[in-house]
Amino acid sequence: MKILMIEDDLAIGQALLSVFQDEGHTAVWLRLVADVPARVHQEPFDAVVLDLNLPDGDGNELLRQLRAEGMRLPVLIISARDSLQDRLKGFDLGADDYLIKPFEIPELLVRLRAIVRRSHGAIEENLWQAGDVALDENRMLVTRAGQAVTLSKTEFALLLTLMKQANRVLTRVELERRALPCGDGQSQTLDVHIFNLRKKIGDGVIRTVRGVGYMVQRDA
Amino acid sequence: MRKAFRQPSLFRRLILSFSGVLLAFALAGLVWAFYEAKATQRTRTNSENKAHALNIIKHLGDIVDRPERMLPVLDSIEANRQQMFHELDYHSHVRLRVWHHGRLVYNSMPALPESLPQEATRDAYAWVRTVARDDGKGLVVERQHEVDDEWMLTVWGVSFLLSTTITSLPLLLIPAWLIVGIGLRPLRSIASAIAQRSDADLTPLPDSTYRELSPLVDAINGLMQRLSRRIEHEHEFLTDAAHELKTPLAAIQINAHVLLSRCGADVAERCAEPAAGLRLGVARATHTVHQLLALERTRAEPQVDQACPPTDVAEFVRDRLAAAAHLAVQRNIDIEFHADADGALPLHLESMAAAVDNLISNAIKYSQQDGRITVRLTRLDGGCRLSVCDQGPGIEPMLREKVFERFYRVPGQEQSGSGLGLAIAERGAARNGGTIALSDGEGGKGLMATIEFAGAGAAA
Repeated sequence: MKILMIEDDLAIGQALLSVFQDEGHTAVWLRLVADVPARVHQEPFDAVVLDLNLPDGDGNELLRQLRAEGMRLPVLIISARDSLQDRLKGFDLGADDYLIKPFEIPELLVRLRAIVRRSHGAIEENLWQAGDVALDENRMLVTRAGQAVTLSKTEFALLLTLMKQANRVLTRVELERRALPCGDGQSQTLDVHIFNLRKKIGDGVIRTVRGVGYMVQRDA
Repeated sequence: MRKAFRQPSLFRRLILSFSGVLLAFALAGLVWAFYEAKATQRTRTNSENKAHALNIIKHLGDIVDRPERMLPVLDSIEANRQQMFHELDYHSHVRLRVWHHGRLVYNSMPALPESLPQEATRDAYAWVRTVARDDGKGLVVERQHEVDDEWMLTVWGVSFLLSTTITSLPLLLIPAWLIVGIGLRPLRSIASAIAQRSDADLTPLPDSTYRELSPLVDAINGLMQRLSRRIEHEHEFLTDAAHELKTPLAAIQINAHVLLSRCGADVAERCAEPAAGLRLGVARATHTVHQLLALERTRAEPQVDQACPPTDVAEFVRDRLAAAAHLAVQRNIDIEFHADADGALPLHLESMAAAVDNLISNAIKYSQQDGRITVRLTRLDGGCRLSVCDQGPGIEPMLREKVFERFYRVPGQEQSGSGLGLAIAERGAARNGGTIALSDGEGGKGLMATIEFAGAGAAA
C-alpha cells in the first residue's frame, strides 16, 4: 500500500514512517500544505493520512481543495482536535475516517486498511465473523461452528447489522431502523425476531443489554 | 451586632446628616433670634423710656414754678409705675432722675452708682438710658430701664427657643427613616441580584434605571466582562496545554509500538513487563488529557446553554450506554437500563455526555467480574432523576463529598484513574441544571450516583 502522509510534527512523522515501513507499506511524508497538490496528482497513492495543524495552512482547507480538484483517495484524518464539531467538520469535508491523537497503532492500521478496502469496493468485506458464527453477506449464508443455519430475510438483516458492528451495543431504535422491513414502531416485533434468531443460531451469540439494546461479541 | 454597628452604614450616614443639618439650621435660627430679640427689646425700651420721660416733662412743666410740688408728683408717678410693674409681675428696675436748672431734684434709686452699665455683665443687667429735656423751663429727665436681654443664653432660654425643633425632630426622623429606606431600596435590589448569582454567571447585570446607580452597575459589568475574558483566557490556556500534550504522547505511543514490534521474540519476552508499563503509562496520561479537556468542556457557557434544544433524556442515556456497554460485556458485567420517564430536557449534549459517560465508566471500572449495573431514569415532579448503581466496593459516606474534588482519589484503590471523573460529572450535571449526589447502592451494596434535574429546567 502506498500512503501519502501529511504531518508536520517531526517525532510523529518519523515514528509513523517507521510503522508504515515495518508493515511493508510505502509512505511519502510531506510536511507542508503547499507540497501536497502536485504530489498527490502525480503519484498513485492508496490512501492519505492527514494531520490538521500544519505550519502553512489548515488540513481541513487542504482536504476541501483536494476534493474540489477531484481527488478520490480515501483520507484518514489524525488530529489532536477531538470535539464533536471538529470531527463532524472533517467528515463533512470528505474525510473517510477520523482518529484522535494519541491513538493505538493497530487501530490506525485497521482503519487505514478499512478505508482503502472500502474505496476499492473489495469483495472480502462481505464476510463477517463473530466467535464461531460466520456470515456471508453476498450469498446470504450463515453458519454456526460450520453448520449452516437458515434464517428469514429480517433475521438475516438483524444478524448482519449486529455482526457488522460487533462489540458495539445497538439500541432498539438503531436496529429497528436498519434491519426491520419498515419501522412499524411495534417494539415487540424486534423482540420476536431476536427470539427467533436466537432459537436458530443458538445461545451465546446475541447478548441483551436490558433497556438499551443488543450486541454480538466479536470473540465470544 | 457590635461589628454591624461599627461598620459604616449609608443609611446611618443619611439619617445622621439629615439630623445634623436640621440641628445646624435650628442653631442658626437661635442665634438670629437672639440678636433680633435683643435689638427689638432695646428699641422698645428706648421708646418706652422716651414716652415716659416726655410725659414727666409735660407734668412738671406746669408746676415748674413751685418746686415743692414737684417731688410729690414724681413720687406718685413712680408709685403708679411700680404698681403697674407689680401687677404685671415685672421684676426689672427703673431709675428716674430729674434735674432743674442743673440741680438734681429727683432720684428714684439713690443707692445706685452715678453711671450704669450699657451692656450686661456677669452679675448685672444692662440699662437702657433715655434723656428728655425742656430747655425753656430748665428741665432734664433721665429714665434708665434695666433690661434682661440675655435670658436667651440661659439654659431655660435656649431650651425654650429650641423646644419646637427638638419636639418636632422625632416627627421628622420617622418620615426621613422611611424615605431613606425607600430611596436605598434599588441599591439593595442590585446587591441581592449580585448575591443570588452562581459563581459561573458573569453575564452583565441589567442596566439600572436610576441615574445614580448606573455608574455602579456599569463598573460592576465592566469588571464582570474583564473577569470573564480572563477566565476565557485561562480556559483557552488549559485547553491548549492539554492539546499540546497530545502530540508528544502520540509520538511516545507510536515509538513504543515500533520499538516493541522490532524486538525479537526473546527480547519481547524479557521486555513484556516494561512494555506493558509503558503502554499503561501512555494510556493513563492520554486518559488524563482527555479528562482535562472533558472537564473544560463541561464548564458552563450561559450564552450557549440558553440555546440548547430539548433532547429525549431516555434516548440520550440509552445511546451513551450502548457506546459504553461493550466494556462491561467484556468483563461479563450486566447492564440494565430502566426508563420510566420519557421527558425531554434542554441538554448541552457534550457536557451531558461527559457526565453520563463518567458515571457509567466508573460503575464499570469498579464492578467486579459478573457484576451488575442498574441505570434508572425516573420521573420527578417536573424533572427527572438519573441513577447509576453498581455492586462495587462503594465509597465511604465520609468521602462522598471529597471525591468530587479535582484530582482526589480514594486512598488504597487499585484502579487507575485521573481523579477527574466525578468532578466532570458534577460540572456536566450542573451545566444542565442538575445536581449530583452519591449514596449506597441498591440493597446497601455498592455505590449509587444520582443526578437530579429540577423541574424548573424541564420542558416536558
